[in-house]
Amino acid sequence: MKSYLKLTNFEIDRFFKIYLVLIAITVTVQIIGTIIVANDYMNRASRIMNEESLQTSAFIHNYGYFSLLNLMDSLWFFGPIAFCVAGLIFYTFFIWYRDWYGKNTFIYRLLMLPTSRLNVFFAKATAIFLMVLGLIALQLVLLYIEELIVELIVPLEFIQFTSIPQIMNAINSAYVVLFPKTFIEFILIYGTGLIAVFTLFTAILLERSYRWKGVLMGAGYCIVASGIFLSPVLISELSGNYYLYIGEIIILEVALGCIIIASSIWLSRFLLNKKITV
Amino acid sequence: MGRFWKLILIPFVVMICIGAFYLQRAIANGQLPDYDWDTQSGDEQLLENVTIYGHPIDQTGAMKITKNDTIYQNELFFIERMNGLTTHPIIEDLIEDHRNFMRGKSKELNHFYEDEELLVSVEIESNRELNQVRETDFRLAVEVFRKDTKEVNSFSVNIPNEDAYNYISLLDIRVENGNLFVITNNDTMEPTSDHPSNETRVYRLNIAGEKLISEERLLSFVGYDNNHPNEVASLLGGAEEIYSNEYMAVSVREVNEEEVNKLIVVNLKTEEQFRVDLPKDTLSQEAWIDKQSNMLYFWKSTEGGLEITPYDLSKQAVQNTIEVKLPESTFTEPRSFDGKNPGSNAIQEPYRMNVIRIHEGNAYVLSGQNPDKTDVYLHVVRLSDGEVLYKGKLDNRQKDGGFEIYNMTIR
Amino acid sequence: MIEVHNIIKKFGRKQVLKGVNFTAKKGEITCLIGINGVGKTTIMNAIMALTPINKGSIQIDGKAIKKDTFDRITFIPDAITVLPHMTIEESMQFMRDYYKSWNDQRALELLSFFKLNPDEKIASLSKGNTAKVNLLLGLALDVDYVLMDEPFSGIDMFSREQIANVFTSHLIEDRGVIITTHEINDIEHLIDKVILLDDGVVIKQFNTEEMREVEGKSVVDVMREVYQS
Repeated sequence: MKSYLKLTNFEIDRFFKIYLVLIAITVTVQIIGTIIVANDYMNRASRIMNEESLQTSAFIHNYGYFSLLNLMDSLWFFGPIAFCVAGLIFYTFFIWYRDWYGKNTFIYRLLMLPTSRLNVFFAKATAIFLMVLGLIALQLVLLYIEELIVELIVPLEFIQFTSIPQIMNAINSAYVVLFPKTFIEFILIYGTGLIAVFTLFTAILLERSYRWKGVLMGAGYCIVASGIFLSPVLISELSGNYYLYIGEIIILEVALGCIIIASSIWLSRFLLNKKITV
Repeated sequence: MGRFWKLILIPFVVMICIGAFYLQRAIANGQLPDYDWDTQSGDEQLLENVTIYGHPIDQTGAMKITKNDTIYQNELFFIERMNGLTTHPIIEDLIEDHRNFMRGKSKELNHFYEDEELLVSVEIESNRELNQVRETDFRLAVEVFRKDTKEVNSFSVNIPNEDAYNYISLLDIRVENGNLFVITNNDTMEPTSDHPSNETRVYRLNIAGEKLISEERLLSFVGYDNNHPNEVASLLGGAEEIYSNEYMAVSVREVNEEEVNKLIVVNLKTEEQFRVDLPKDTLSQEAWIDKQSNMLYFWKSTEGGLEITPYDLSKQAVQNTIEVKLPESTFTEPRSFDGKNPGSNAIQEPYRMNVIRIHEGNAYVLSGQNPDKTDVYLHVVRLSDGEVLYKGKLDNRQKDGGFEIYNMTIR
Repeated sequence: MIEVHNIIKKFGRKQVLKGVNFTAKKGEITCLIGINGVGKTTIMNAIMALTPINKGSIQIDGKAIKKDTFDRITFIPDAITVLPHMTIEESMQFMRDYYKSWNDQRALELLSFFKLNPDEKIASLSKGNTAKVNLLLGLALDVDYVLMDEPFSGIDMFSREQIANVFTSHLIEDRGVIITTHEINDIEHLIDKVILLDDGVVIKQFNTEEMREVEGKSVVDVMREVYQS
């Protein structure tokens, strides 16, 4: 346990500079974006209201309210998120491959630590997961800050939703995955993310163990794992037979997710102990 | 500690931020207003069966109001939210009482029939070849649940002449003397004299024998053709129950036209049919069949409220109209904004929204003003004599509240 | 005792180790000798469970390697195993964090022996000093066995001398050492046992003292005999 925590801390340390860069980019771009998007709206509003001599309520009726959703539809908001997602997906691979490549072959040290090699696996997974959650937490805090900025620039009568819960309830796009509507959904969605991380890690270890053959095995493992995980939904959709109620599908998915996590851990443990090669 | 500050800080920040975020959402959703009936006269018992559907003005998502509860889609756990708020309460009850029977079944009322002994469901099954527009191999898949033995029998019968149809939809089902009547609407790809482009058929199945006894065309409509009007048929409302009516009414109008050309009523017991002989503007009104009284009710909004015209199906005769007084609309002038270009700043006028449901001889009339925050009224009127059995309202002018109505179901 | 039993290792179709057998005792310095590419490093990796073997078995004091074994056996590969941005001090801290067998006193002793500055970053060290740090991190563990892979390769003469001195010091005594090298000259006089590898098998193994006393041959003599015949 102690080694696991130390290793986790160590992995976070190693990524922390890049992580701070991701945070800085997100904060800067989104805040600049908030100011620009809100100002654009207000400039347009005053121009149109002036040209067409409209009153506020007529303008709103014809051209729509302003809300944080306007910002969320813009690249200013979406861009940094996509960048962070891409960064973290890249890091999921990098967190392993960096230890093999380069002249300092750190993987020797990691595998020779007098602790279960699975701790290295868990530490890397935890580090990635914590950093994902950290970025989500940052994004949530940023939303509140952005709302404050919006209210400084846009007069209240132009704003449709003034509270974050209202805005969150109004979200109807892919952001539902990023900001699930209830805490249980948050756990389910980010739990699925964890399954994905474990599956990818296993695929990486397959490649590290069997090299070229391992690439195929890893890809195969990912396909099988996602096939199994999606099977309840796929079977229903393809056959058109919705035999299970949604609640039952959720329970089944949770069970399948646990099975995939367990088999990923088991396989990774086997690979790390018996098949891995430096 | 010193070296591990990141490992401590990150989970701590994550828990605080995400925890606070969901806590705030839960609190905010918990503070959404509740709507309670303010009964002005009559028997509150009548509200037990009433569910009102709408959506909050300042929020997204749907909501529903029952006698004791206001439920917002956004505050629901997501399984319920995914199911949506639109499932009919009768279906919800069926799922609760017959969970296994209802598995994988349609959530449409017209697929079900229930009485003291039986619960029956019918699905129309078909195969669809890839690269082919039409469906083939149509079957009626029947499941019968016997309440006394708790046995489920399922069987399916092939639809005769299925090659002639490219699409079959289910209109209604009913059980009479151990026979199951399935009423369908069949589309044909290449109309012939035997098979017009659109026909309403009845399939008579023997439940005990699990087979098709007979099938018959009830009505047919000629579809797109230079010599014929392009008519469409729709089944008249009233199927808000899974105890079917003795009569079925089909209104026929031309595509894209509001006006109903004719209204054909079929007596499912005798399979006789007749045309309702009323002026077109009456026929074009909204209408419901009441299964208990075998009455057809037409209604239209008037200045003072609502005018209901009953039509006795067994006597084929129209009866005295019933006036339902509704509270006057709270606005007088349609609102608009000043401007040079009147086209661009015309604003949608608030409109009166009346939802009428007929249930056990009573008309439930829900009226409100959309999208304004005006009070919503419910009147329950006994159709035999026009007496108002209940009158009440929902205060729709709460601060941070307000909703638009769009539907009502009576269980 | 480290026992290597009949290990076979293939890379793809190529069989690199075709049944290698040898033992290395505690308190002895065993030297694996062979031309480059003969599989010396692979044997070391296999002993440390850093690469799987296709057949055969490896035991350390009669047991297969497991996590606790890493507190009793250390492997010093030919490249350094800590991260370039770490200082020497941080590298030592890292080792101290995970290894129960880390001996701070011995680490400091080695630090002064090699004349290293603990605040220097690994990335900025010379090749010789990097090798010394690598050695330091391995030898500062109180272990029973030390495995060294080419400790002298590509290192300047003075560093080589310094490293060779380690073998005669108390830092090594009592431990079992397996060392691979192709430059036997620096340490010929130190080693107790020689294992000559060629074409994936052990072609000769002998005790250096016996060889010297009984047959009057040095290690280099034997190597000439074996490899040039």
